[in-house]
Amino acid sequence: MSFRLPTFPGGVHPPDCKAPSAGCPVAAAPMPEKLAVTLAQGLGAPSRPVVAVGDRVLRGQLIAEPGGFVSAAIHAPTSGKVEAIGDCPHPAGVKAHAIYIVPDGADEWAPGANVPASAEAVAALKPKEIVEKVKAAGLVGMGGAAFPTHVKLSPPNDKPIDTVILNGCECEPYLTSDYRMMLEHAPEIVAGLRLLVRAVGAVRGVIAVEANKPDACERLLREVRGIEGLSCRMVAVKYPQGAEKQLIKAILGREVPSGGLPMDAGALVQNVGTAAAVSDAVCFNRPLTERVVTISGDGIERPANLLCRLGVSYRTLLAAQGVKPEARRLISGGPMMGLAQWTADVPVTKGTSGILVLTTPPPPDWTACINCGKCVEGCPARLMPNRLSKLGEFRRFEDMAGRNVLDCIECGVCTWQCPAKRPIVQWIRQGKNELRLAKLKAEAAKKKAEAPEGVLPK
Amino acid sequence: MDNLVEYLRLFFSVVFVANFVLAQFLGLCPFLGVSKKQSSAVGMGFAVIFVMALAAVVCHLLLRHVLLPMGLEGFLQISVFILVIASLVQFVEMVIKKTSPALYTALGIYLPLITTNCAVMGVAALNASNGFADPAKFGAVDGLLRATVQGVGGGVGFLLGMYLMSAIREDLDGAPYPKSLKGFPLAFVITASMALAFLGFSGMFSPEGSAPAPAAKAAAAAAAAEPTMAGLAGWGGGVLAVLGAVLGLLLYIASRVFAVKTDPKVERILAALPGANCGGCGYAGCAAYAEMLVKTGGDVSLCGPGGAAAARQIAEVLGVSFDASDRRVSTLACRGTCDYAPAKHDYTGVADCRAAALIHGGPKACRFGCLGLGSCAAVCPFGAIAMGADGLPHVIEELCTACGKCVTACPRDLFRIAGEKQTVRVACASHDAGKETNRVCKTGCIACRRCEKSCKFEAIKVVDNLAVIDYAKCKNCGACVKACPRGIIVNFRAARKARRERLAPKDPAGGAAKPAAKREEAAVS
Repeated sequence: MSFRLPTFPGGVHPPDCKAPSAGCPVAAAPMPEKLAVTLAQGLGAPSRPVVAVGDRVLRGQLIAEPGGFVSAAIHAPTSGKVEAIGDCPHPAGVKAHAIYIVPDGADEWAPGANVPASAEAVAALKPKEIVEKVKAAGLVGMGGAAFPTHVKLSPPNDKPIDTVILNGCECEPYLTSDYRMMLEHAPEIVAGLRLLVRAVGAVRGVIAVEANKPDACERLLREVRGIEGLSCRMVAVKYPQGAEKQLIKAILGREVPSGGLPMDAGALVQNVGTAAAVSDAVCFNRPLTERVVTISGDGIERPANLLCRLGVSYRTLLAAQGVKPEARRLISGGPMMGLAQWTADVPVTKGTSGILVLTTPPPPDWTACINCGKCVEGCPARLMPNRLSKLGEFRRFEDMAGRNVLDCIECGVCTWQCPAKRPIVQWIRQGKNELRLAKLKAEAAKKKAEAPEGVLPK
Repeated sequence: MDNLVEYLRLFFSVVFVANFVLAQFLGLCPFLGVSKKQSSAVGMGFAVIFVMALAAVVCHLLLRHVLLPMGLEGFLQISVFILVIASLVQFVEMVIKKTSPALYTALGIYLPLITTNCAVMGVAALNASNGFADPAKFGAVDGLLRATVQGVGGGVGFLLGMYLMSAIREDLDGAPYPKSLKGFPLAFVITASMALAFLGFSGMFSPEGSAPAPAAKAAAAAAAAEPTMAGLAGWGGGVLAVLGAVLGLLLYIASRVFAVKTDPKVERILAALPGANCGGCGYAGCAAYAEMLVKTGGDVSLCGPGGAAAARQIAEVLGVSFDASDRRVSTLACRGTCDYAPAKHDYTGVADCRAAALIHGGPKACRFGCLGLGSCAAVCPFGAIAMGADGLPHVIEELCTACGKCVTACPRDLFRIAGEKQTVRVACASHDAGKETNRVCKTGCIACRRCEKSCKFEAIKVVDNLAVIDYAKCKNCGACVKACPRGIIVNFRAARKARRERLAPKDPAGGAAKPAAKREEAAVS
């Protein structure tokens, strides 16, 4: 009898390259002379600073409040003085301001923060209160996309969630931060999962771990044993197994409809790191001020998993771990979906899962599509990247909409395995952006047409 | 329905084996002409199915019940078929114009061309030569059904060919094939390969059954030829006249039912426009532009190919004034060449400014500067923008029609539409403070205000760290051009003169000295 691990259709198997950092226990990162806490920590609106230059802040103190519904609060990563609030390069390439904090070395917690809550108090929390605590702690998805967690925990009433899936796949090559979290903080992860299940009123909590991390799976299995509704499942080793929609397909066999969200399939997917942070926030009143970052790649002297305060610049971390002279590229995130950086002065954010330094040269020039169909086979979203790439090549972005380009998850499978080295996912990203701009333009034109004569729309 | 298998065999053989376009090479004209886009190819395909089916039925009925009994089929058959088909196409044209104006525009000249489409004629003739109308061979219902099946199948075959062809052509659209193959040569190559592929279907059915044996055909022809010799020319004329009158009446009714109201002004403007549907005006084709002009008024000089002549005619139709000397051109507000404005990082992705701008705001250190990947040159429908060796696009003003495509294409919003006469222009868009500008670009505006002081007409002001010219006051004297220490106020008259000299055919050294000349041209100011 053959035994097949659950997975999704499509996908690829890039070399996992996890060995250099997998065995490194999480160590504390050095505290730099200055932290640059960017105000764009997650997806959505940037946060609004609530401190002024010259203020003394304590660790865990609120320094910026959410700038909208899809936005997260930000807390001081350590105690110190606000030196400036100004421009700062951002690893996602967006324009953002940052609060610069000079640590005073005391690392003193703000009053009320880092105080364990009693088990009874936690057990008595209502779902709404859990979500409030998560929101107050400034949690965002820690897998990389950094979507504010409280938004995901507040689905509309007509979309019940029955299953919470914790994503411990870590399918991106090189990254081991989630793996180390699972090994070292399994109790917190499971506690966080129980809180998440309660918060959305689900009946099941499943931790999904890729089969290349059997020790992590075993550790979590020991932890969930005997807890009703919770389980830990191994899933096939395949990229992008950790993508939300693909994980739901693998675990529940349900498909998220085109243009829909996981809640449309009755599921909530959170990263294991986020779950641990939920437990920290609710059980210990500890806002999100630090995270585990994998420093790896063949251009790094001493790969490591570092517990970094938010706002530490990549330069500090790279200096601590040593960069080989032949290093060529600096990437924030994993090699598949991460973004190459032009400067090492970008700070660690809540979504920084890894910092890679690679020695590989940039890809060679691409050629015409050879119609091999590999991208179609590999596409986990079941799109036709071959068509999309040609539409991109010929700048026919408006025709991409008819080929469901908006369902693309930008995992990069098509581009990774394209024998013609075509920049498919880059075209798709451009196409999505063009469609977004065209939509904005059409909306603006509509608004203008509807506005009464002589009144200029804002 | 005893002969269901026969009908199916007939249908599939005419779709695949004896495909009208790819096996019999009939109707190639619309096949090649309308197969550039899938949407219009499918529309055309369905129009052909409709016309073919209807033509097959009507022609069959006329042949069986009018021409054959009267013995007229030998010499009147083709005339009658043409008459019927022509009327049908007129009818279809009216219906499409009414129901789908977009398809109507897309089909353009090719719709009337179905009128003389040999494929439609072919299906009627094939039905006749197959003897479906011959009472001796096929029953009334059987014959009619066979003719219908052949008609519909022929249309479906045409649609299939059109669709495949358009899919291939869309796929190849913009592919880097040799320029000499562009257009029809490539279309012919594709058609030939497709025809070869369709040859593979030829063994699908055994030959008998789909067409009557040659002997029977010859006999039928001989039998048919005999009575025509009786010289019933008078009958023939009468039949044609009656048929013509009936069809004419039907068309008249149809034209009333499917009448589309068009403003006569739109028609007249359309006549003045070149009809290239290039979209250079910023509207979806000539018709859309004409409609906009009539409905809301607007700039009459947007048509690049039509130029001043078209603009003058349109102005006449609309009763507005048009001054031909008021030509406008696009101009780039950046002079940050590779030498002046360095990149902050290497960019190795898609060679398109709009894609590059998505990653860390683009590779150029100056956040306002030209990214130099040529999105503007790629979208220019008139070839009026050339990427220079200095990494910047250069507008060839003689070719520019101020269509504004470069303006929308540029992710840094660096193109301005300027009057051709306003030759003094600010070629910088940086609102950064002087210190920051100096850091990222050796030529950007540092807001030193020397231009302000030099201007006798108070026409130039530094607003938000950038010099801005008020063209209501500017006299193109060039004082600010001389005063600017950064060289970003450019007198384009000098540049234009240099370009004209370079483009002059007499000068053989012009081509070779191009990049150098370009650099000089910038320095002239």
